[in-house]
Amino acid sequence: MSWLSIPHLAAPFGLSHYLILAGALFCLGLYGVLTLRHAVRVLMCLELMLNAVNIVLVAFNNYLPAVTPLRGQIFSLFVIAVAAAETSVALAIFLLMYRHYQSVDIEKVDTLKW
Amino acid sequence: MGNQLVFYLVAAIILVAASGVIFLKNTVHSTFMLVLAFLGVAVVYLMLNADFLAMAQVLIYAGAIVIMLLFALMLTQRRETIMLGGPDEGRSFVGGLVALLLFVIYFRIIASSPWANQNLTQSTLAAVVKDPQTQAIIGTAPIIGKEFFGTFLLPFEVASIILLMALIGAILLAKRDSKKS
Repeated sequence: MSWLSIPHLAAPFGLSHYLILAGALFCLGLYGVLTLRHAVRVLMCLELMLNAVNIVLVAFNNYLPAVTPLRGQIFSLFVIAVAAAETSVALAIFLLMYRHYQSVDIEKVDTLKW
Repeated sequence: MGNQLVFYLVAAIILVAASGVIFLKNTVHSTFMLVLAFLGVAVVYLMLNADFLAMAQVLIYAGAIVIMLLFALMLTQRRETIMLGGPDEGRSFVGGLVALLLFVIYFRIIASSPWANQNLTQSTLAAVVKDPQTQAIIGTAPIIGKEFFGTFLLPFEVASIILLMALIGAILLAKRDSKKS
């Protein structure tokens, strides 16, 4: 089982620890997106995944020397801005969905399903 | 050493809160777990010398986005939608498998990367501002501001247009058709 060995956990505290945390958070969010049925909760898990990506960006920005300082942090600020825009549009879509189907169960929205 | 202890504590809080978002039965409870996860991520940003980003995280994510999600919840509240909480049994096996496999692959990539075993302690703020005392005072906000109005001016304006489009689009979508009613 050599592919399961964890050599880097012996490494000094630093970049890889943050990356593992971000990976765990991303995969938890992915699990939620794939399995939950409440549309608003799917959106919450999407936000968790975006947060995991932001942690990766900021961690790399902090630990690796950059040509432009703080480029990773600026990029994650853009991610936050787009996430805010996405949430507001998603809220409107959920309202429409609720008016049309009287439910926010994503299983009920299957008009395009074949 | 203290840094490391804080990191493990915060990482545990984030992961437990994220699990709460997924597994709690009541959707409103899971929203409050989401606040906890966002605040934990803000602490991680602080540990990574990103003070401005940590504040933005608290204001935008833990404040604005969670409020919007709560609005979405309250406006679509019904007995059956509250009971909709928790992962769907039919999909939890495949979903769990996909997420677990992705995590294992990700883990292997990090473990085999050249910088995984290096002791990287360089901070980019320290590379720009040499004096540690000035570093603590100015933080990252002035540098981010200069970058936004210099190198990243065009993306900054595009982001503002995206936000405006989202605002107008959300109003258009959610507005009731006045001719019908």
